[in-house]
Amino acid sequence: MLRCKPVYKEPEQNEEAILFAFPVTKNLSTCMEVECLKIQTTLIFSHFPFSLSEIHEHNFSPSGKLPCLLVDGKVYAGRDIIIQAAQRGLDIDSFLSPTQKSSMNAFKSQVESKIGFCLDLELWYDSHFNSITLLQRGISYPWPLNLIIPRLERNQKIKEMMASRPIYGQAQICLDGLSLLLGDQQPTTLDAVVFAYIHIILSLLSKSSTDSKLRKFVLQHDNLVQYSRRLWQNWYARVDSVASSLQS
Amino acid sequence: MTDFAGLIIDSQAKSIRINQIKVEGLVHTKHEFIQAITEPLIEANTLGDVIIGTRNVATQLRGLGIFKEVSITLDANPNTEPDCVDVVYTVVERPRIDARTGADFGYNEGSMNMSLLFRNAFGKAETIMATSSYGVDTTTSLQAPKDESVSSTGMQGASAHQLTFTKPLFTSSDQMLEANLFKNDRNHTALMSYQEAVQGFTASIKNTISANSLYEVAYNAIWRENHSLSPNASLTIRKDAGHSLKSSISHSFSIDTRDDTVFPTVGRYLRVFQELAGFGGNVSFLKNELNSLYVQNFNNFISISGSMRCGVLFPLSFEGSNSGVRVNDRFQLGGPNSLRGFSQSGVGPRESKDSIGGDLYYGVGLSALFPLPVLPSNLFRGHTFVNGGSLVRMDKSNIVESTTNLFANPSVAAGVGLVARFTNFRLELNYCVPLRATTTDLPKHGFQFGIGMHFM
Repeated sequence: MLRCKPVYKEPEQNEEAILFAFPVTKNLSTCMEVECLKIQTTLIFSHFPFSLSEIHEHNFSPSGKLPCLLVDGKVYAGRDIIIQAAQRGLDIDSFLSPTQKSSMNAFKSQVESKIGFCLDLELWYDSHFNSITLLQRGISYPWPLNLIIPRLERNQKIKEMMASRPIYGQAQICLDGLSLLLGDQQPTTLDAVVFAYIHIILSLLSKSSTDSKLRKFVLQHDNLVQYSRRLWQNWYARVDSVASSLQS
Repeated sequence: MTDFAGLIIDSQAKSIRINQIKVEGLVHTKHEFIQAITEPLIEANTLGDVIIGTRNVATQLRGLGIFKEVSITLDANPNTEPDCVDVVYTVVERPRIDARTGADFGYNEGSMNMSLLFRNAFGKAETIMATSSYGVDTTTSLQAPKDESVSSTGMQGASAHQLTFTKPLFTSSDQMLEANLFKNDRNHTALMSYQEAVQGFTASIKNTISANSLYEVAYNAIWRENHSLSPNASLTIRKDAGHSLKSSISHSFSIDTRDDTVFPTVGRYLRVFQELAGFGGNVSFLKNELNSLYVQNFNNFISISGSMRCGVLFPLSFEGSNSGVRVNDRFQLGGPNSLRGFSQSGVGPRESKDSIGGDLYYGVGLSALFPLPVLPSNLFRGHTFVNGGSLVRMDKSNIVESTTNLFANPSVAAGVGLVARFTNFRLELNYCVPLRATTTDLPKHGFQFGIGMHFM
């Protein structure tokens, strides 16, 4: 059999790592999806060199959830991204003692479960769904998928939330604790996690036509607001007046 | 008998008038619907016109598919004028409800299917049909692709649900209106590292121009979701992951003058298909396909057929639209029904193990069918073939280079085998020898089995 050259040449692999995440939300300077912003912030804190590629579909990721990282021809998702970043860049938690790490992990878990739940509740269940989430998630789809797909995601999200029902009070306790803990020292993965939530709560929920209980809780802690603003100014080069005004 | 036939022929011009047309045996069918079919008969004024007219009406009634029997009686009524007759159609309606179930089992695979047909639903020859099929780890599609294109791909584990409504556009079954609601799940992981959920709606008008030519115009609104990607899926497949909506208008025209669709000895087949997508939705393209075959018999022994297929897909960009062609829309080439001697979708652009499809393709084939000793020739034939083709991506900025690339490196295979008739399907078992292939093709040296209605 005669073998001849292929009719198609595979695109060359990019040497630089690419983080695939949801697009930057219109007028808000960053992506407003917690997982995406959390991982992006961690990579920035880690001084991990990467470029950002905007993707609309969770299905893109091997885990079925964005974000994911393409590095050396392989696509990583979830915790594997942080592991890759730690292996290739700087482990930003390395300076912490085992006790501090344990305490940090406990706080991270609190933030994820308590504040995360409340943010999901407001974005997916409350009236903010129609004014924010529906528009944000539907923007990349044509009619009528822009109305159907966010609602399907909403049903799924509510099912997940029904499985665990923490309440606002727990989020408030968590925020109180955080306001005492956070300081000016070198950022850790905890800072990445906290920043992702606080930034989105302050920025995204300010766009809603109705008051956000969760945002009100955060605004009660002035040091949390200052903390989020400081991280934004120090680590996000694209800081501009729009973002500053949104955080104020 | 000859004298009787002669008498009829001699009397064709005899003046005769139809007094009344009666249709007996209607239960669910609306009288006004049947009346619209029989009405033109009243115009007949000779015996010849009456005989031909009554036959044509009977053919039209049978074509509706709602009558089990249609018989005609020409009755001279003693109460009317001597040159008047009554035409009486006696019909027996077919059962309105027809339900079927079936199951197939094989080695590590199985499927079950159910169908429910509601015939003559509103009394005007409408049919409503619901079909449902579930497949478990099957290796072939459970539902033949609608456009018979080369884009049919083998799949593992598939299910299909469909609700179809058809009705004659006017009074004849030659012009039919069809509406379809469907939902399919397809597993392409063996070839393209993703699974696909497809649901949508199509509405079409089918016009039978003559006994062997069909014209069809359709509107399609199809929601596709590429999901459950394999961990090693290529970047191109990943970029096409997720939801897409195709809103398109398609048109097809076919002529089939072959004397037999399974073992043709003489005739030709031509089908052209165009689809324009971009009326809403987030994919926009213009797709054109041509499928042709010419067959000629020599010495009443061997039938030689030459076939050619080609297709081109132009991605279109409308202002304000999120334009893009997905892997779902691209052509695939290779496999027993398109290019023998290659694996399913085994020809053309490939990234790692994924066949990512192409925008421009052609395939040509030369095939000979001949009777075999001992085996009955109406059921089995010997077969030898040579076929070749190519599939490429199109670079819109350099169409000349894309076309050159298409013809520069064809993939070619030849072989010999046995062909069998199975109802309207053709089964082929061939020993294939790939002669030429690109380094990324998947040639299949050895035995290859195929089943279908259209082969290269």
